[in-house]
Amino acid sequence: MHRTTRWSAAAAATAALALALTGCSSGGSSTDPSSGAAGGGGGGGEVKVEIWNYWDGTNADVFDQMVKQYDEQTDGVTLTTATIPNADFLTKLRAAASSKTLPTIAIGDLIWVPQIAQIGTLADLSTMLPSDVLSDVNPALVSYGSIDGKQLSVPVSANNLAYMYNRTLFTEAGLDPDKPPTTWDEVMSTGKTILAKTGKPGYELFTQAGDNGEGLTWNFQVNLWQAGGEFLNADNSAAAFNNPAGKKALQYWVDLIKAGVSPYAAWGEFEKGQAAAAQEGSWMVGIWASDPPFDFGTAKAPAPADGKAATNLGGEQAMVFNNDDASAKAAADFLAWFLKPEQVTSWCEKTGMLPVTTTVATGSDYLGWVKDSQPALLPFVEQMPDAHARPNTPLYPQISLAFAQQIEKALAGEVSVDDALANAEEAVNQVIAQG
Amino acid sequence: MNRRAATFGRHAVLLVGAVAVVVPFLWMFTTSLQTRAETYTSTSVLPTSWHWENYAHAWAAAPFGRYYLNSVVMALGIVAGHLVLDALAAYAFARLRFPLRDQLFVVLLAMLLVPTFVTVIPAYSLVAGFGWIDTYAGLIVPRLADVFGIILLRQYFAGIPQELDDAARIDGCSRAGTFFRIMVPLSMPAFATLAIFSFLFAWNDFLWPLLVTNSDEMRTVQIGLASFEGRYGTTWNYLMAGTVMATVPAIAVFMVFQRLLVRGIAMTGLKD
Repeated sequence: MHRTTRWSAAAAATAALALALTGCSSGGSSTDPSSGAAGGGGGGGEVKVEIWNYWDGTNADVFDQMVKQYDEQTDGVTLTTATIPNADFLTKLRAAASSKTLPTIAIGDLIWVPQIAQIGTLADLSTMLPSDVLSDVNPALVSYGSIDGKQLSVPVSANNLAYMYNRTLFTEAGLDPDKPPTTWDEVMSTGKTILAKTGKPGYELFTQAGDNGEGLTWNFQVNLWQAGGEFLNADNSAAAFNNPAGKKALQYWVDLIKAGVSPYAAWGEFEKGQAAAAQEGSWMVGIWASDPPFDFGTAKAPAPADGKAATNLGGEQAMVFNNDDASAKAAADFLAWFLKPEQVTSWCEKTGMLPVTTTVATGSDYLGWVKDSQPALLPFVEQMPDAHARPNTPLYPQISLAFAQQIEKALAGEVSVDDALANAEEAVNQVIAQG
Repeated sequence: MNRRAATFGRHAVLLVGAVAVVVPFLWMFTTSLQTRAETYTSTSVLPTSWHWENYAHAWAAAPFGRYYLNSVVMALGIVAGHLVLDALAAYAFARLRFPLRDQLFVVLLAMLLVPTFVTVIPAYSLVAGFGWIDTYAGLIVPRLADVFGIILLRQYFAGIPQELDDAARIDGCSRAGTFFRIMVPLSMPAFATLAIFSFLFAWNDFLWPLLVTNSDEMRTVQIGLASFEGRYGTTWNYLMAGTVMATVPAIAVFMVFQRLLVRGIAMTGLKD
């Protein structure tokens, strides 16, 4: 008897410990699925909008400030933000989807949109946003969120790729740092000069597939589009790059490597000051602005003399989960506010990201700021009308990896340009066939 | 001559091992003191500049004070849970006689083979159902006990002579008394080992805290560190400064318990 009481005392202590721990909970969770429509959760009729994003540093600070500003000027809605590390963003969304704890708005990389559309039920924003908002958004960016006749996402921030170069190395090689190359031929010729005079490669390419492939793929797409090609066909059901345009683009890369102008090495040589130029994202301007590792310049992505201007779009799109009508509507209202010229301008000037709306991208306000404060961004801004978006299929990550793994073999000199493209076509079509 | 060669060889091997262990830490420390531009261009393993302000910047980049508190609360909760609950279960498996005891133990062993990732989503659903998302309860309760600890302690308890229990019982000690007065004091090395493992597991855990927390008020240090690895480039100098600060408690715990572990072994050796 004595013994039993001791043991039940221990059990009771354990239970008490567990209870004490539960008692430590920090008040109600803002992800309570019932909080939106019911207006419950002690907020007195407040609709709750929770926004998940992966921004860090300045981007996160600016976004939080803007959300706070909107929250303060809007009655009946409480907005909160949560930063989810980008590498685990989709993992966390999937976990949340399994138990109805999804946020109201998810802001993630644009290539995630088709995958996120499969994780949860997204609201159709085409009817929820004012039509003048959507019509003002960059067409390539807005078309990206059009899936099955619905508008499942809207862009909130953008960036693209352009030519970035090391002015010091250009000068050392006897080149004019104010005259960066504008064509593929000039990339080759300046690259050869730089290699001969400084011993450093003149133009870095993303030559390795790695475990993700996208670094190679999205850089290559720029040259593919410039040569007049497409990556996938119009309904994303087959590869479209195994043709003269694809050959031209890949031959350009292979020639650059053979000439020694581009190192066949891991990405990062340009950023270390070991290569004279590279195709880099507009975000690098913002990152390097305060503390540049070397004197750098920017220019539009060089295109073939007989080709067209093109670049690849990156950035974030916002998606609204249809958890309930009230919170979805409040979320759409917030996005409409965020996409007004004033907010778009403010976001871009503070973060160095590119405007998603045409009004701002071509408006004198923003362009004036760029010229005065961040002239290195100008080529990127001017490229926005030529920008393409990647195919909006949920299979894109696998397609990108399969493509990169085959193309890498041509860059390594293991297979010919023709074979690499044929193999890549087969690999990509296989990924699509397997779904 | 031959012996000198052997000594030299042994030291060479040890030296290589030591370098392999120390260099990553040194690189972390060196990078933590560089400017952002230097993290791109510097190739030196030894510090070439001393930007101690990186530590202040890293600390200020996110509410790291709060993250530390959360990590400490979570780690201590989990360690306490493991020490208490694992020990009770281990004692039952080692000393008590009850139906299906050995079969249950085999099932428990089999659970070691189940990868954590398999149970993450069901566990998350349960925690979400209890309303524990973004709470200490969500961080701690699902991880209060673990199979590894039960097996570790059970094996240790089984090695303690039954005669010690019997002697205590004959002298009128209760079952619980033999547990607390005989088994626990004799098993300090095992408890120290378990405490080290549990603390390091809890302190370094990333996935679970990431899933169950949303707000800065509940985030832990490891998630805070991930915020330096942005979508648009990693701020290596701040990341490494933060990592140094996050590693110090783990190293400290290891050193403290390491000593206890050694002393524990010495003491039990004397008693035998």
